[in-house]
Amino acid sequence: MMGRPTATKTILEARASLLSGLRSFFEARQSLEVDVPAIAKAPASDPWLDSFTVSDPAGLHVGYLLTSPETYLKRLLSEYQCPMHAIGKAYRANEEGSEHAIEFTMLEWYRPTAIRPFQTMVSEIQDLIETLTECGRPEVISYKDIFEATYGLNPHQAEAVELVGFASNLLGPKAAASLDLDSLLNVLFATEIEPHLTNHIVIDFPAIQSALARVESDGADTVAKRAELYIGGSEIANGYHELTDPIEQAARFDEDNRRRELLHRPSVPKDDALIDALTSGLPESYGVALGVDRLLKVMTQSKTLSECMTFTGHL
Amino acid sequence: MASFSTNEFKSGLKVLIDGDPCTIVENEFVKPGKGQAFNRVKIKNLKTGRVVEKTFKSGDSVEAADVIDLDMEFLYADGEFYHFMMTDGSFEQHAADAKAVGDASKWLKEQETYIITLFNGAPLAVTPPNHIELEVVETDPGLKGDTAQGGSKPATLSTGAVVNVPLFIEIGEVLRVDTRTGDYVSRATKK
Repeated sequence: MMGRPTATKTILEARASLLSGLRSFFEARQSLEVDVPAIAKAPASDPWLDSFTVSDPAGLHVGYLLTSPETYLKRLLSEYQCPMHAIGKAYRANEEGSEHAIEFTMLEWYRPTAIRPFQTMVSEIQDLIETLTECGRPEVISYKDIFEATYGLNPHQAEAVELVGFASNLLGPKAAASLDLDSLLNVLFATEIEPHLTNHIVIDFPAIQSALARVESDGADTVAKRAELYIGGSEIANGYHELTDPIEQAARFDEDNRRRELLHRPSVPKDDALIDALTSGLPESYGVALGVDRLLKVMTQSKTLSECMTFTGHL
Repeated sequence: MASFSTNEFKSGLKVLIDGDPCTIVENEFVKPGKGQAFNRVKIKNLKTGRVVEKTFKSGDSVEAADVIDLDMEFLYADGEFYHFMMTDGSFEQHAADAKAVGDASKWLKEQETYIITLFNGAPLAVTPPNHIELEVVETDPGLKGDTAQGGSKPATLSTGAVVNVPLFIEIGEVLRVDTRTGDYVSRATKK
């Protein structure tokens, strides 16, 4: 029979219980649950995110299916200045595999706080995992420490030429030489480091991977204030000490589009509504996005994401 | 020349890597949330049998290998080549060298059907059927009354293969053997 569910009833029960656990966790922390549109005028500008476009029946462009609810949540945050979270579908074109699906469930939350926002974020992610799973409290480790331990290089100082050699072993010299610094770091991290992260939060990423996180200097190195949670070798959540400066934000949009052009990928319209929200004032805050299906996958020790979702591969 | 993009990768796909025919054993899509996507692929070199791991940028293409598996009947060996004939009625013949035949040489029996893997039209590998029936040509005499369990002895089969068999097996008997493990399975059922 075609089109049967890909998840067992047992997994669906675990999924329902995880979703209600997540809701209780945020309710207890006075966070407002909101649900936001899935379609927006401007998609995420990250060079490696592909958004589906939405057209009306006449074929006229309407907008983009969002890769995360970030733009709407930040606009709400700027208006209401309170903790909030959303659990909903996110869409990413061209992402399919045992750990990827084009349509998946994302939990994203924001919390305004002026007191040590980054540390508060890391401990809130730790609390969430400790409360809702049997994995225990994730261990915090810096990107620099783990990268140095694996490759013997400081990732914040390393230049592309120094990393090409390592990437050559994986991709061959020609493909390795075609990668920029960001992709070199990504492939090296994803192949040799990520599989060994059993329950870890990696903090302080290379500045080139800042996306919409703040960049800070900790003396010798400039780092992006990002924290990523990995369990069982899978990337589960990604948190930022959020950028609040509209000028810097606009500059990053332009930089993303410039990189898109270099990579021969389509440029995207600038998210003016988000820049307006930052201009009118985004509180000092942090934000975290968490892949609910991925978390369920590691909690149930499933082999693939599709075992954790009602239907996959049906298109 | 045909080629496959990484999003067409799946196990069993035959591709050309550094000039060698390979088959994809496992394909994994790897993509950090914000980063470039890669495919980590386990590839078996069909010439050497070695399995290696390789990484591709998602979206890149790899040349397809002209590799095809065909059913062929073994005809004879002439000392240098092993001759096979298509079973599709075309009577088309192919000569495989010792390298292509490899370990399958000890399971070659006339009129038996084998899978011949052709690369650019030439035999690259020979795969015997999982089970094959062969006659015992040499073994120590069987022990009277010892029909149940206990002990085994070597027996040489008509193809030259040596397998461990129960003590009651005698010369001239036809045995069913698992070619993947080289293990004795049973006496062949009398026809």
